[in-house]
Amino acid sequence: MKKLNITAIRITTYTKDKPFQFEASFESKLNIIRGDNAKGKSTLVQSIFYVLGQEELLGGKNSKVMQSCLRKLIRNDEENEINVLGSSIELQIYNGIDVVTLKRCADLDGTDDRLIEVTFGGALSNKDLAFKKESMFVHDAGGATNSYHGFHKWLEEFLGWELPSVASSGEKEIKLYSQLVFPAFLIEQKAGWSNYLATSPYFGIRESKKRAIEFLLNLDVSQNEKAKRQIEAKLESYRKEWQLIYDEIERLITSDFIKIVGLNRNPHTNFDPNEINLVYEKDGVYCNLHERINKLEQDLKYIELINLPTNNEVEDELNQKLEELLFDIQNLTDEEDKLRSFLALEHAQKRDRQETLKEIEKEIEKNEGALKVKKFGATLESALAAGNCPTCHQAIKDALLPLDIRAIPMSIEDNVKYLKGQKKIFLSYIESCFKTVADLNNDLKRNRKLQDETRERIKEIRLQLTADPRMPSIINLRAQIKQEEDIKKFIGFIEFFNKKITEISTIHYSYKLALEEKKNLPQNGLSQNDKQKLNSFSGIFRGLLRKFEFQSCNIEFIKISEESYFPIIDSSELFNEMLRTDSSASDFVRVMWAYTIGLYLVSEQYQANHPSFIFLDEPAQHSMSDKSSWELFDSLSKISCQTIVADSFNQNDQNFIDTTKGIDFNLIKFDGLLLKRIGGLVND
Amino acid sequence: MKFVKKPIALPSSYRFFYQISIFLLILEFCCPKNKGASTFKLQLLAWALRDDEGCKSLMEVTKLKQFKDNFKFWALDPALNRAIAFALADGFLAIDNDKIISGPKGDALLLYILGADVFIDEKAILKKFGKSVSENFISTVLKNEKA
Repeated sequence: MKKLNITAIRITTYTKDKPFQFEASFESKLNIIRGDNAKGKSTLVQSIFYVLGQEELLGGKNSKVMQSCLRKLIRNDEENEINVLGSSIELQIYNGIDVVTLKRCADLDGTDDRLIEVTFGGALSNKDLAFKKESMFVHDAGGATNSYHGFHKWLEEFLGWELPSVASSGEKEIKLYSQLVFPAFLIEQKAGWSNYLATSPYFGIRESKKRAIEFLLNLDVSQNEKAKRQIEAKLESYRKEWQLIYDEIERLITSDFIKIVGLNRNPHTNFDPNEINLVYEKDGVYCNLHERINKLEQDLKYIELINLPTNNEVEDELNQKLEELLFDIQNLTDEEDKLRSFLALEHAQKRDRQETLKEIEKEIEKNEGALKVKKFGATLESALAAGNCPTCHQAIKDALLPLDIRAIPMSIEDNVKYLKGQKKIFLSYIESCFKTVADLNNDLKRNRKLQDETRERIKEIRLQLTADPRMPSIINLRAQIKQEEDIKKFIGFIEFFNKKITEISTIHYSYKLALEEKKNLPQNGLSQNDKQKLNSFSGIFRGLLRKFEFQSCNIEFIKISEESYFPIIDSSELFNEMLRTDSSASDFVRVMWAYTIGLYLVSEQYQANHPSFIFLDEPAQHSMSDKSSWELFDSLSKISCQTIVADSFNQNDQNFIDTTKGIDFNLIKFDGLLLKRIGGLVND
Repeated sequence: MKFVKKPIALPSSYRFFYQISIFLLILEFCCPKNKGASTFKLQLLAWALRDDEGCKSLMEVTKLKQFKDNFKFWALDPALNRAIAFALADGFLAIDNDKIISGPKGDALLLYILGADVFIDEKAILKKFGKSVSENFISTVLKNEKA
């Protein structure tokens, strides 16, 4: 099991004279950074985020997020301001096996903020030794995915992480960014205490917080979700292969008044190769293709037996036949025109309906989004969410319509139901369109075939009528040849068909297996093991809340949700419930403490992916009681995880003494300002 | 005999929390930190989200950094102004230096919106616009429209 351990830091700020510097070493237990406000504590905290390539948690990219003392102006102990030429931050980290040193510059001329230099050794504790170095890009398209020169990719490997691919807002899957996992244990003072993983940057990953927790606790559900997606993809590819073969059969065979019976275009589980037949259907004849071949063979024998009449003998008959055929061809072309215009109409309708369906689906998504946000808004004591006017507190409708419109709008819930109804209607519309188009296409194909045949016969008769009247009529001879051809063709069809049916049988077998696999996956995705993990998380979380003197509600009813992986009470979100009951602000922070530490403890218990590192910036928010703060330090000092706490202790020595009494920790303290001139004072 | 009025379905863009969410997302993705946005900016970007065509044409214009003749001016929607007024009164938005910024309840709501699985398309589009639609740009649009 790899971990993350910070062993030393060095911050150097360059000026035209000697640089300013801060150096400290950390131990693999509780470390307390003690510094007064406005003396550089935030600089130190931000530097650690920055050098780990996690500055997006502070709300920006590259050195823009860093304090001005590293980039613009620095104060010396005499309160003079001096121009800064840029800074460099070096951090020595240890993963339980290797020590490396990261170095990243901020606004330093001749260096690139987007680069982190990785030194493969402890450069800060062994200043005389030379180690191999490599520069890696932090923010670059593909930084997380490209194995070459990508810092985040390297960091993942260093931490022994294998970040999963997850669903994004687009179609494709993308890898979970490490910046989405770090907010679970790297908690910054400004926004970090407002919510779980509050500082997660937006990367377009669906339910990114859930995915991060799943990864940290190594839940099988992510595997299951992935397996589910893979099976779906497999099913889809079988469906495509099946359709391809079906289309191939249809293209080759069904054009000749032959239909496939017992086989659908989409895979069906009840498929049985013995129940599938080619059926011949023409001029009121309906039979198996085998039977048709037999019939043709018999007819052929009969034709061979009779004598052929002369042209003269059949002339009247031929003339009459020609009339009929010319009439037929007229009808057929009329019919074709009609079919074509129907088809064009149906195509246009299908397109329109598909557009509308897309609009409806988008609208459903928007409405559902608005509903979710409204529900959350209710926890913020929003008058609008409660259906009241924020100014006059009278009931108003949830509509931005002008006041003089008297219509009664549906509630969003009803609106969603209404839209879902519309969606169903349109889906069935579109389905029927597809069916009509397919039917029309078949009709058209049949029509074309008939026309060809009729024209062929007209040509034959005309030829016959102009031929020598004493010669034997070859019309019947032609019929005979055609029948022979048909027999050969039909036998070819059957051979081809049987071959394709064997192929489909193979697909059918794999398709059934994939369906079976899908059935075997756990229903809500959580495995037994996952449930156990979340269950022990609940236990640990309650224990910690009790230790931190959480008061807002009955701790017994709190557990970790199997849906969101966040604490719930009586199936409603714990934070929402606390907001509703107007709990004290410090209790929110206690929940955050318990959640952050609990996450580590569960991961440790099950050897999951937590890097055994917790960084808390000003955890004693909202006039936290000394007793609770002591309990926090006590817990942090007793877990086998490196913990770093940056705290100003209300700028009060007594507070520091009271909250750390009897606790084993490494103190990192700076008197006055964080950054001091190397070699002491010079005149500026 | 009694007639009962039947409730009508409403486009999502006429819902308070849809528009408030969009405003907060605009402030987050398309405005400099803490600087806020003018009502015109909120109007313009909210308009671009209405349909693909508007979005495409605004995208093109921001890319070219100049106007093409075929860029049609957006519609200033009174419904959006109503939404802004309600959001200001309810504390989701606030006014600072003539600009609209996120209000006391806005930050919490935004955190929820960013973390929750909602408005995926809108987030992607606004993120794509990013800071390319600046206030300067908007005033150019306005001048251009008057001319």
